[in-house]
Amino acid sequence: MRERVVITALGCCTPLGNTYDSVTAALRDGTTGIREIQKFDTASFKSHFAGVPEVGNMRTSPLKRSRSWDELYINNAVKGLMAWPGVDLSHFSPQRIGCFLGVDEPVPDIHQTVDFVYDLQRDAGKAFTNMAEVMEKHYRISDFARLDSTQVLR
Amino acid sequence: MASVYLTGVAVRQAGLDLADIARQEAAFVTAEAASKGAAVLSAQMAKGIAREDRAILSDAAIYSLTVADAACAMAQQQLAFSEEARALINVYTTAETVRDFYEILYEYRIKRPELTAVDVHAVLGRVAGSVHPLRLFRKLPTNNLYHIAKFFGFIGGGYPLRSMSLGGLSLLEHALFKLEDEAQGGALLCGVGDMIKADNFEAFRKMGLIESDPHRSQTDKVNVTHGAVALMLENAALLQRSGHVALAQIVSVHSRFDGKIHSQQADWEALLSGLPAAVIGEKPVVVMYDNGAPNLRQVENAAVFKALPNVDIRRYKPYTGYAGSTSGLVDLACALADKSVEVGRTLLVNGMGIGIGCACVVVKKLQHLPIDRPVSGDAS
Repeated sequence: MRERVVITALGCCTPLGNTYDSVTAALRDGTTGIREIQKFDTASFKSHFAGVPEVGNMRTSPLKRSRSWDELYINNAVKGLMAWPGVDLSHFSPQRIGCFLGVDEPVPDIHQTVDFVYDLQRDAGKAFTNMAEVMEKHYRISDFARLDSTQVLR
Repeated sequence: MASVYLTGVAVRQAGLDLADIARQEAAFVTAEAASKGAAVLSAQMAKGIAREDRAILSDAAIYSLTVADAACAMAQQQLAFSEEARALINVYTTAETVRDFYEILYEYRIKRPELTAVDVHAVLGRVAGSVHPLRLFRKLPTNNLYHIAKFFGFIGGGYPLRSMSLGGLSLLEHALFKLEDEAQGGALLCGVGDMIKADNFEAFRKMGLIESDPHRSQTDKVNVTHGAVALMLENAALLQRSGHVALAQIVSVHSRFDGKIHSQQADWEALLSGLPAAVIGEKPVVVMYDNGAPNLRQVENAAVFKALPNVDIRRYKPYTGYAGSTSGLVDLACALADKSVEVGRTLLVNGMGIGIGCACVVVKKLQHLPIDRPVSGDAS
């Protein structure tokens, strides 16, 4: 039988809060994590509400944002984890600590994608003829790096 | 701790014919050969898939089912798995992102020529409403896993893994960890990769990860291709019960995470110097990751020559092409097929993934891989 495994610290970034105390308090008090979406224009959507962490619910240009939303959420969660009372990893070799990262499907910014598509041209065989040139125009290397879900591990 | 054995292998990668690898007569993969092959499900397999499941088959899922079927057939040549054994088989798949939203948006643009890009920014909700929900199901990272588990009745567990080009070897690492601890168990591993898809190719080209100079020699550039590979693993207890033929023993998997884009010489050295002395003493055959990029080859070479001075070397990517997530498992299949690698030899199969790190799988070759079907220039 393998050795028993226990949880010794917790960090989080959720619609109910970014600390263990705030999440448990929200659950205890029946406070909802559903809020009006501010991060993009929802006028043409059926719903204007979602369970979105408050820290990520703001409208910013992808060009000005230094981090993807995934990175922002995970950084917050990891900060909380490291601030957990008693957590001190300094006496462990980095090679002794593994990291499992649950990831959603990383997607390019929707507004960038729209602009990209409006420059694309297709031939009679439905093949895009200027993909390389248009990709060069609309995406930076950092945009592709953001599509790599392991980016946050670095 | 249970021993884990390989009982079935199937590769369908455009431009690669394992029969040629077996005879050491393989030719370099050409761009023309790598571009061939379409995802077509056999009529026989299609019959066994419900209509609603056929509607959510992606190209990657079709490739996955095709190689999974061939690997299962190889394992079950003498005797089929019992229903009870199927329930003990895990499924691990790589997770290839289906990035096709630009195609959806393009269709939307064609259907509504009166709208400009600025107009579309304001009506994204309507664009989202125009997407058929089944199209979204096809994009799920669990799609391949769902189809394989359901079609073959493999319900022992498993999950999709995203480890870039290290994907195939990561599947082995996770499966080995699970199977070593189970009284009886098996695993179907399936890696799918597509480096010729326009957006993948351009993204990697822009990041400088694909050499695009056509004047470079064939062995000195990354020859991209697409395809899939599947492996059937059984631990000793299941193998004893199934009576299947073991082609190889998976001895161990050693991995080293590093957050750098590419593993450096020091990372490779640290990984390889951690291999057991007994393994190094067997004069193993090292199957290099070497995907053709000169800078990656240089650091891997330097580390191997320093840490493992007494080994034989094989490089298969010039003949297999580079399809990303299929890398390590296709290399392993080649070494098992290659008749110049003797039965009984210990293989060290190297792998690397962008931002993931590097790994080395230790395998004991027990048989030359029977070639299930010659595949010339066709990934289907």
